[in-house]
Amino acid sequence: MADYEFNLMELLEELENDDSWEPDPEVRKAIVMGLVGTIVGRA
Amino acid sequence: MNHSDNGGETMIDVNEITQQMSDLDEAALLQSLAEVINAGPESALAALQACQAGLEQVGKRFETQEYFLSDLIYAGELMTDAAALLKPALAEAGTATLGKLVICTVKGDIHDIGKNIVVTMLGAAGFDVIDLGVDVAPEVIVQTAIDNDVKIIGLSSVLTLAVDSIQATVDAFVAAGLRDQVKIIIGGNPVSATVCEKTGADAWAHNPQDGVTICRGWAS
Amino acid sequence: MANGTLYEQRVKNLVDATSFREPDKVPVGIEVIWWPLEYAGVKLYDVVDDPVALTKAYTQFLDDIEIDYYTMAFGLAHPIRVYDALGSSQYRISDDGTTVQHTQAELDLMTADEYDDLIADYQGFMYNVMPRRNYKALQGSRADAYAALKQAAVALKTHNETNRLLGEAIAAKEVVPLNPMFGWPLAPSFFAPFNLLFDNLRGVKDALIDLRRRPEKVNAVIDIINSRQMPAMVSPDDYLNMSPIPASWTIYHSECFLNNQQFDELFFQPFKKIALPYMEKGAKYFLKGEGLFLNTLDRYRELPKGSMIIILDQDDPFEAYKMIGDYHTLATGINMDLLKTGTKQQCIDYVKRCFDTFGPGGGFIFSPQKPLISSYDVSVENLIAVYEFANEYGRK
Repeated sequence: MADYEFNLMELLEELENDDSWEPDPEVRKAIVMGLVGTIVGRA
Repeated sequence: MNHSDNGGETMIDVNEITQQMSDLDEAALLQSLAEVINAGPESALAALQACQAGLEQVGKRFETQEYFLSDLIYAGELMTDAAALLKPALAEAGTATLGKLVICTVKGDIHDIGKNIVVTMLGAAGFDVIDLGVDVAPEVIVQTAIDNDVKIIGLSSVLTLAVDSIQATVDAFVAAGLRDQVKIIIGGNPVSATVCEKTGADAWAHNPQDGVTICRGWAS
Repeated sequence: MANGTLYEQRVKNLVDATSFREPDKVPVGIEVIWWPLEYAGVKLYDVVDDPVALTKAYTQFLDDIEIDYYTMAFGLAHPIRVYDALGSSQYRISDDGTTVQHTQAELDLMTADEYDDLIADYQGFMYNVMPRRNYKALQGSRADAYAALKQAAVALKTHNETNRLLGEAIAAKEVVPLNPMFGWPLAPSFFAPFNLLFDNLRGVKDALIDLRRRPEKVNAVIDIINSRQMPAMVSPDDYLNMSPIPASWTIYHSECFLNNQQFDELFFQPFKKIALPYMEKGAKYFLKGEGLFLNTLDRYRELPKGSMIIILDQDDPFEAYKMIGDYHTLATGINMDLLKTGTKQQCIDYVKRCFDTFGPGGGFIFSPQKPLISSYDVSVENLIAVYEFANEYGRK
């Protein structure tokens, strides 16, 4: 079990600033937005 | 005029209960059933039968397109709740069910929404439903039928690739020497008269009300 | 012979056919999901990480089946590797190795008691509670969750690249995609907010029962969802200048289950409010549904003539035509039962009957009544014969 308070947007914000998986910040931003849609659905 | 003669028990208005179920009037129905619980086992049995009569009316109102699937699903839920509410009071009276029925989604298919709707409605109609879940192998279905002396088998599917599994299940009953001892109904997106004939099933249905009607006909 | 490129001819035919003018050729379309991979003899997991290989396999059927338009955007609907990375149990690959199945069966849904939590903190519930509940990879430590999200992001990038290549491939065939800007119709599409409860949060049965037992909670959630909608990208006045095919979308999910009053409140009135200003400027909306929805079709006479293009599913198209065929375009033409189990001649005879009945005067485009999902859906011989016939018979 996690010992922290899960916060998806916080994790995704960190992901958007992390260039280790994708060097282009605009691509990172678009992918993260796509991930929100996939994970959360049409919220 | 509308009261049942319960041989000494407090009389209940069975027609009113039937109408409340038919009208999907949950508040009124629950109030009626609360009064019935204290009235004795014969009253409880009469109330259960009145609810079932109301459910049959719901089915008719569905066929005339006054009611739609959401109403059918709600009716199934009301009937399930009514049966649960009356169960303690019914213990002495004993209730005849329509018998046992096995239902599942066939091997290779994991969809269950349609099946679950039908399970509720079959239970509400008075069947003892054995729901085997999804992705169920033919041999499991056959063995369950043997172990529980089940005569009606319901096979659900959504994908066309499941048609081969339907075939395999029918063939499994043939191989077990049980084919003429069971009735098999198939339902879901890919089924049709053609598929029914090709697979050797006894009946098919696209909407849950038709399926329940067919199974009830076999049970009686 | 029509002037212009093949693409321009196809666009003109689509505009004519959906405007109750007889086109030079009845537009022929298709919707495919996983079937193209089976057609190419390829398993999904053999190509899913290679956009070029997947695109090549997925588009192979286009060499044998000619289409004028494609319903929706041409691409993969489900980013399966993203779901793998997140540990989702919603999607499972079938025994045929290509068909991905989606189920609510393994979702950990919202309970009735949790409506108040959802209403009190919609963002928190949707972004934190539900994802962690239903994605196993997000249930461990923060580091584990982050690693899973990073893996999912890389997978989504590959998925998007695949869909970009698929879009290019279909464009190279001069096929008209009926979602002109991939993923973003120019007029606002409409998806009833109740469907979030129906599909994702409460499930089919409980969402429908909630409409009866706790309607005030359902309405509160719908109000929240409506308040979060983005404003439309373009105004109705600017709309027609931006696309040759003014098409947008609405899709039935719960709507095939609802009674008339529920349908009106949850779907039709809100849909009309959003779509009508655009329809009055010439926009056309596709309606796509799964199941039987003949009972809903007469409502669409409240909207401008020709503003809907109705993709039929299980309903008998000849009954639908009697009901609405003079007023809105029908997208239909062959059913899956015939494609799978009929003879070639039975299929052709049926298609001919559709063209002869629905074609005169326009208001008809050809489409199979269901998307081609898996390997077993059709007899390939029948499918090829049907498309050869439809493409020829539909010419003036």
